[in-house]
Amino acid sequence: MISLDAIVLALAQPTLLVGFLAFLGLLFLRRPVAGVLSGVVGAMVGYVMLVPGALVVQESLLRLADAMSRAFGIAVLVPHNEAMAALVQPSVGLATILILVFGLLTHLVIARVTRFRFLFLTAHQSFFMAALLALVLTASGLAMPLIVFVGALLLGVWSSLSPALGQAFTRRVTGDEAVALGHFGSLGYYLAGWVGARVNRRYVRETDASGDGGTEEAPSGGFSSSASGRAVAASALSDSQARSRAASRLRSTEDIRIPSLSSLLRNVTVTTSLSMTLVFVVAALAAEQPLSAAVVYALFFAVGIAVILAGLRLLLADVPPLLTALGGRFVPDALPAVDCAALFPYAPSAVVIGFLCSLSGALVGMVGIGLLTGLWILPSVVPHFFCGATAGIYGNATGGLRGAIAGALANGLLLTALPALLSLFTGSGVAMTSAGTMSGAFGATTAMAVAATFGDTDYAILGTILGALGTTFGPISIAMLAIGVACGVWMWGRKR
Amino acid sequence: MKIYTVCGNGIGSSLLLKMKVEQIAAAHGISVEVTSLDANSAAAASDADLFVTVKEFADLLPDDRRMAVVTSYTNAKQVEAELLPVLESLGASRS
Repeated sequence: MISLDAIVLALAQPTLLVGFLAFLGLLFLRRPVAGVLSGVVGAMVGYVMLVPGALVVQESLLRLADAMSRAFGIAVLVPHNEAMAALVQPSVGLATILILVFGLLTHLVIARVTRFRFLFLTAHQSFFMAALLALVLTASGLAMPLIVFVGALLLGVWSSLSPALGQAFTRRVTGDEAVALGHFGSLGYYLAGWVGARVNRRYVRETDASGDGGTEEAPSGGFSSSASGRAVAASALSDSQARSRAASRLRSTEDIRIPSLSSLLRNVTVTTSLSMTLVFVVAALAAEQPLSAAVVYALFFAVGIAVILAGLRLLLADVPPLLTALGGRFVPDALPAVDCAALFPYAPSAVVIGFLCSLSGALVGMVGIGLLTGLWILPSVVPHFFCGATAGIYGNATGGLRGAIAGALANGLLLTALPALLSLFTGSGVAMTSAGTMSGAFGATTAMAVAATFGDTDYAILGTILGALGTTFGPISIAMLAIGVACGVWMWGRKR
Repeated sequence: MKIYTVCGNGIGSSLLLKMKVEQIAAAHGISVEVTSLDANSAAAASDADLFVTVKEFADLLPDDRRMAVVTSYTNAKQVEAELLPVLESLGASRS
């Protein structure tokens, strides 16, 4: 157990830096004196708040890992961005904050000088990405100034590329609205969009042919146009069979009325507590440990997450307004890239179908990978809700109901497989909290039951690539990759 | 007037909505103080003049709250059409 003193000491620099940066930002926003004061203190309080939350989450997960290994002899891993980003602050806090700030500035520069004119407004995602980059780059052995330089370059590039890569899909989701996706589960969503189009090739063609690209219009437009699209299939099938098959292919998720799952989110803390209690009780029963303690430890997890979320809210409250103000001045025509939940109103049924299918995919993946490797990836319900729902929306936009189901299943499998890969390179969250040192960051999976890791697709893919590069070719290869990618983006996106 | 914007976690889409609400209020000379909240905290909070959110979360808040239900977090035109009447009537009743 690391002493609290060591943690406090490690937090001093990043906390003061947060306060200073908040001060600069609020001055730029021309807030009144009282607003600047409350904003500065709020950001600092929010930052420090992450750490007690993370410590409580860690105690809880250690207990779970212990019970699981006693009971079943398996290691468990809980992908959870909020928990992981908070957990690493005592060891890589300074690098996280510096990467965040310089990364967002790099992102603005890219928006200004290339045709990737997006404004990534989802600040908590940027913060998680900065924490991941700080963690992997520190573990790779790069020196501090290079960590910030490479990290900022990568954060800036990916904040611009991620919305750009899937803009064609996003446009199908939103119809004609001028927004992009700003969320680092993006590769999972685009995979869902691609899978959706593959499993239902006629969907895009025929819903488009009926006049409007928006999936919301699919019910009326889609069905009427099935009369023309039917001609090919009709040769082998009877008329009515062909019609019902064509109709089912053209069905959007939004043709179905599904009760909303919002009760799941009514109280994030209660949902997290319930799902965690279930897991902890199973583990405790099998390990013959006292049930009452298991319940309290399960609640610890939910409490820690609630504290971390409250901290993030305070820490990042003024970042999107600041980005909007800076964007308005330097890149006035930039497209705002927004949180995935902002897309939920476009396809509320796809939200529910996507979540359920994605979770099913994750559970299948959990059992498959668990049996193969002995490492069990436990999906956390609430984070999975956001990613699964969004995958459903993208799958539906390109492949209707079939697309939503297949796309979300693929996303769920990916969300289980990727963290298993990433854990090879970030090691356990446990080893990471030892303030200041990164010893044991690598290979900790074998030494000790692993507790937490980053979850969503982009974190896992970037982290795995960088980790693999670093361990194979050394830290300088990571720096070269970052510079190469940045040059590539500039060449590719140059305005003519 | 004091306004809460509400979404599931209180860190993503409610923050976008908060910025939209501030823009619209500023454009019409209404002075507002907007905070973004998660649905759970919002259900317990009663110290605001207005809650702005989408239907899913509006259903979860107590009935006695004054609410503006919007159909998008990001579409400025839509939010303005749905929010401005409520803002104006509130502003008028307070002055």
